[in-house]
Amino acid sequence: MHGPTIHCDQAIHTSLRTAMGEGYRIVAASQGLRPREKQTILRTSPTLDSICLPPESTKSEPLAVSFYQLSSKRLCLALSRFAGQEHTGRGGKRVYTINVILNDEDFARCGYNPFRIVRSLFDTGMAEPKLNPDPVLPQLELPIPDDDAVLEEAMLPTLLPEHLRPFILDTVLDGKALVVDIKDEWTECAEGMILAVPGPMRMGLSFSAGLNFSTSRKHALQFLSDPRGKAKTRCPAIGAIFIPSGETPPVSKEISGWSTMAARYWREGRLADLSRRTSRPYDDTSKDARERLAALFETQDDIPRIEVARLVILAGEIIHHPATGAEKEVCEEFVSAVGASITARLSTLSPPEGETLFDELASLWRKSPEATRFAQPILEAFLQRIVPKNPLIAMEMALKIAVDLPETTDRSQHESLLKNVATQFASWAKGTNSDELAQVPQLVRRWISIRPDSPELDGVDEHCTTAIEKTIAAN
Amino acid sequence: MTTTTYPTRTTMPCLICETKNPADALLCDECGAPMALIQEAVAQNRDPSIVTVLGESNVGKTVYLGMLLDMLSKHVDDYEAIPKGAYSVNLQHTVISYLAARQFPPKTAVEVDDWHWAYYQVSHKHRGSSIYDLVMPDMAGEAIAAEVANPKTFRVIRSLLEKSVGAILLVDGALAATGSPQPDFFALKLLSYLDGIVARKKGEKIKAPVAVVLSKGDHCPECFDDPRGFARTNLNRLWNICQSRFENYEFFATSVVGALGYGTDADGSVVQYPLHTAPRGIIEPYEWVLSAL
Repeated sequence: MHGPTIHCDQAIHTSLRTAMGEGYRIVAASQGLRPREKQTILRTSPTLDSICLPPESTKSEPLAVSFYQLSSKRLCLALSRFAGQEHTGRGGKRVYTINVILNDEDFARCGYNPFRIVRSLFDTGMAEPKLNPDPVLPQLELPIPDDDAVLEEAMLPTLLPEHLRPFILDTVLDGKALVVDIKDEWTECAEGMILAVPGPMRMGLSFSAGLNFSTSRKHALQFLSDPRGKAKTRCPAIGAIFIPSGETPPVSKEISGWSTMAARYWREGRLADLSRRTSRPYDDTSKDARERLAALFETQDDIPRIEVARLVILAGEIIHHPATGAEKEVCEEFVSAVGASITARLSTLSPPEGETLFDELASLWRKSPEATRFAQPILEAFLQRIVPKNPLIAMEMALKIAVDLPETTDRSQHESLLKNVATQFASWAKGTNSDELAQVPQLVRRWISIRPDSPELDGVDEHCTTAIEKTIAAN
Repeated sequence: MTTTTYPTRTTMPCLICETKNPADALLCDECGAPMALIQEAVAQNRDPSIVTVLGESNVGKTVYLGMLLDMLSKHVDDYEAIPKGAYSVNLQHTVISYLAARQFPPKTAVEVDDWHWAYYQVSHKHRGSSIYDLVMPDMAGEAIAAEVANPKTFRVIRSLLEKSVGAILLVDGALAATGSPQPDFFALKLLSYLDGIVARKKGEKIKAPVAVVLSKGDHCPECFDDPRGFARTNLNRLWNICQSRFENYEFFATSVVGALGYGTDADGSVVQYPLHTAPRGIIEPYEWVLSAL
């Protein structure tokens, strides 16, 4: 399964001997690459043995990924791997880096996930080192794979202690630089962490995973192995926080609601769900907005455990929350989930609970067009469910929504519903001898006073009056 | 919690680019130069003289500079050189250790914070009492090439050259002797770049001394006999720009290894092994630069 195809510039940075020189440089690039972009790529690209080595026991290939914004505001995704020995014969392995330069619209089309581009590079064979490239390369055409299946299987590596995760995320969201020393799985840690950052914020977030520390690469977030203590020593020079590997005591810092939410998803191994929630084109990614969204998401996940009456109140609040863009969509989804939950739980309500709920819904229904859209289907479902079981109560309830219809109500549908209730009520009233029959004449008269044109109730009043008189006479 | 945040206290300007950094920073946040340089300069209470060693990738800058510093600290030719800080010894330590193990030292990384910087106090026992504080970085040839091709890519190089009192330009004599135009073109670009930075008035020749050193002289012994003649013949573009734009320049030949062995690496690339060292022409360029200051 593939998502969109993006077209972007590319640049290969490695060490080659050519007629024009030797050593690490941009040996090939597409024509769209701008001089200032080249400068940044030259400064930032890894050389020599700059890729962290995984423990030998894992036998995994050393790989590094970095991502940063260029001065042109375009974004650079760099995938680095070893490509044989350094050609000068002076020891060490040659580092080969393919840089993908894309604009923010294309990044948004990738779901704001730089690792989808990495996966595409591997899928298309573009990650394979080319040690004899043409100096001028064509634009890259990358089909971006859907990452749902990958993320469903993915977990945030346990190498990253649970108690540190929200601390790291909060630090990144606060815009502070952070270097995390772990032994392995740097790219997996980076992807899990990046997916917890609101999508549009990722454009301004530079990170590296699996690259040895260098102050030349001023990434805000770095996952690396620091066996020689270089990062630990030099973090002060870049004002970064250094988190050493191994066990660390609990972090004494107030954790935001957003990070608490992300931590739960990481713990439950739900990276795909986390991504679906965070990777949206939010207009507002401020701390306040993040906390609002986190509260909403947490409540949404908790809907099955929240009382129905409370859900109606919450829906009323969220419906009228002045959100825009993606946040508005989140609110709409929340309200929709609340509506579905209430509808599904109608049958579990006792009659008094049902009546109270109906009154609250009817009140909300009249408040605004949005509230009408939310409450209308629930009210209908409510009546359709109750009318076969208890036509008398259904008729009483229908009366409450038979007048003062909100402007946005679908009148024909509403009319049809009321007629259906009245018809079933009439059918029941004509065939019953229960004590409840005494309430029918008055109810019918109230109904007709509101809705004079109700042919479905013709004869009900007379039938009930006669039946009642017969009962009295018999007694 | 073992995480630490570092509060910013008083600031100190970087010796190279003059960017203000926290006083306790190890490296300049802007250019990556060690802040120990300025701390040392403050302690000496005088401006150091920066001599920059330039050259393209794989020309032999690291080996030359490491050997030069080692010879100075061994008081060769009655020079006395005192390293100011242990970091200053790292380069010569690395170079000598590798050569002793019959290997060339690893390439210098392009990442600025991986460069070796040497800060030495140099004097000559018998030639007056002048003391020079010399700062010499071992820069990656790739970084120099990138800066020359796209100025301001590596600000530290530009800042260094602006502050340099002299330069030692290494040119691959062995490659030039084979007829390759590459060393000539690179040196031409480099001096043209230097000209653009240092020239104060249009048309005025640059006074700062530039020693052009033909490296790997063991491959082309003829360059020792007549370095100027070698350059005029094999590096004619370089020769011409020196004549047109520089007032103080001289050509030298140098060599560090006495004999080479050859092998191949895992990819089949030829690997050279220095079987023994036989330094020749190491001190002379440096001595000439000092004398011209």
